Amino acid sequence: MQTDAHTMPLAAAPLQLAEPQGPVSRSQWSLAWRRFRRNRAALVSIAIILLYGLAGLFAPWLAPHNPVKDNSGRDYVPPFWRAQSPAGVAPDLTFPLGTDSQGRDVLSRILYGTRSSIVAGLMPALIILVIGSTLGFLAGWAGGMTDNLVMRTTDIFYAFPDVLFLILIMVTLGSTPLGRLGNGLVLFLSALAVVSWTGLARLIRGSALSLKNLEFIDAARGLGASNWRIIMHHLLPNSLSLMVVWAAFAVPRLIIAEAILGYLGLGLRPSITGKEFFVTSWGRLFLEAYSNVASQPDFLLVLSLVVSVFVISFTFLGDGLRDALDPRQKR
Amino acid sequence: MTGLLFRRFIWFFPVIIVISLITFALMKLAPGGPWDRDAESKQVDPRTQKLLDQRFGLDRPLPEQYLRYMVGYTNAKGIFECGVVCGNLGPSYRQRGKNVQDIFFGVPEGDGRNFFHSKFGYSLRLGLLSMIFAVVVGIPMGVLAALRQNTSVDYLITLVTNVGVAVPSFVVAFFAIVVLAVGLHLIPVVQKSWSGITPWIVPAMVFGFGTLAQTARFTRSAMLEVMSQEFIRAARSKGLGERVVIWKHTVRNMLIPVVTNLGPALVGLITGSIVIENIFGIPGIGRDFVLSIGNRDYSLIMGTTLLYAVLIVLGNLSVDLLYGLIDPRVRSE
Repeated sequence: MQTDAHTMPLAAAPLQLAEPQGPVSRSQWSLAWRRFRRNRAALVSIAIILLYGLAGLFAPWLAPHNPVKDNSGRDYVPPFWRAQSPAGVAPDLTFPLGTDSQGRDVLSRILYGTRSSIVAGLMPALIILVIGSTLGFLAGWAGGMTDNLVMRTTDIFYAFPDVLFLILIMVTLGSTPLGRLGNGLVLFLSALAVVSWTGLARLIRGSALSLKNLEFIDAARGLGASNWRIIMHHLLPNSLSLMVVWAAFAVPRLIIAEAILGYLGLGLRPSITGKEFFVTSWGRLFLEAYSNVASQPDFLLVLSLVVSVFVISFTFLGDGLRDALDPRQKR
Repeated sequence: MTGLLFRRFIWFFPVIIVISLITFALMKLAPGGPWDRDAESKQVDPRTQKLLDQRFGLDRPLPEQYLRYMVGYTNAKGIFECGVVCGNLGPSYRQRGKNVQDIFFGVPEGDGRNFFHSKFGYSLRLGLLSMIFAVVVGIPMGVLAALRQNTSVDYLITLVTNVGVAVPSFVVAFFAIVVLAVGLHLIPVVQKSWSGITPWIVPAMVFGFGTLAQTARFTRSAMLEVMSQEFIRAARSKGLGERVVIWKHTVRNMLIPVVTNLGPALVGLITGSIVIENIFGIPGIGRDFVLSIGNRDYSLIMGTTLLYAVLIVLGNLSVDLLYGLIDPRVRSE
């Protein structure tokens, strides 16, 4: 508690001084926002990502049909822009993007798939942010044996073929109680997190190492700040921009990892009743669309477009964030 | 330099041991054994199962099983059978009478069959062809973009490479199938024969696209960095022709970082083709791996993981090695 009393006035002092003087003080984040705003591609990307997010969030209200309801006799209806399907079926405007092999509405299924795929990308990213940055800070700040241990562990995981490892975990543990928890979501998220934490841990360690020897950290230490306080109040805020940029590039990778597993039939368990949150995911849909590509090629086309636009948006967002948050690092 | 390489090389062994331990533990955690298949097919009766367990040493304690697999064991005839350390990945539990390494590297019978017709050969061919495509197109693209910096050519190449880096080969493959196979009938959806170069063109282009984009990006920034350096200005100011400056001074120096990254990229292409092999139906290791996990062919799963892990470690090692070979400054450190 005493440390707080010592550091508080120091931290507050520059703010008080800045007020009466002419130039308005700007925080790093508001400066970053000003730089970010100038990047039109990144702004458009944010809008697109938000749109996907809303579509996923409001899928139950937006979907014109029940995503798991089979409409018998209405299978392989083509999307609205086709005159007819390869089998000669005419489009039906109540199914704007057509129907699949079981007569289920493609648009509704893609909307519900978007929902689970976004969660499948965001949740592991959050888990990794917590685990990876904790280990990174620990390694960078503590140094010595701890650092060695953490870094050698990342070396090992780095050599693990990641998709193969994911497949391995999903297959071996898929039918255990852990694998059944939450439609396979729990196992899936932990597997993704286990495979992908190393990159962030290395990044954060590097950041902690470079910050460690700066004067303001010495000052904090001299004033008696605890390790915990230094990490939470000094290292973390200064590494936050790295973490944000990492996340922007990690989320699409995680979404694609889910899609690959789903395509191999190993991802989340699909809901049959439509009552569960995870009705289907992009990976599942890829599997279904590819199996029926000859009868319904537009399903695969639309799905590929939907996924591509999403991952491209994330890349542009990541580029924009990196340029805005770290102006020293020029491409 | 030698010391660094040696330390990196020594590190290779613990990495492989830990990876094999994790894989082994995962396989043993999985419910069901290698002898019970899906419910539809005939089950192995308990007596046969016991015999099979004995035959493959699956009735032994787990640490012993692991050691038998990794180091080796003395068989019933008193002959020592060497394990993974000698490159023996053990018998496949599902493909009778075959060792895992034979499944990977065995050449099928027939005229004119060579190493490239083994399972690993197919994966290797896909990886190599994708790499060639990525390098032959990617490096010139990057050079062109750098030479025409901030023109429409540069912007177009940047756009293409941005898309290439973002969209995974998994999705590009589906685009290729829909447009080229189903839409334009240029290629069949499922190839029947993989002989000759023609059937490989589309899979290699699809799979190499991401690496191409990365190589082009990397080349462009390396090129720009070299072009801004003093010795290039010096070369120009002493009156050298533009062609000599670009090809002899810039490109040569730019290639150092680009080439060193090709090793891991190639390994990535060889070990990362599981899904691509599945989509295009290429009979390589990746496609087999997906089949073997459903079959619980434990030794095949473990063999694949170990083989790929070794390749990845060697690929990373190659960066240090190549760097030392190409750049004398690193060697002296």
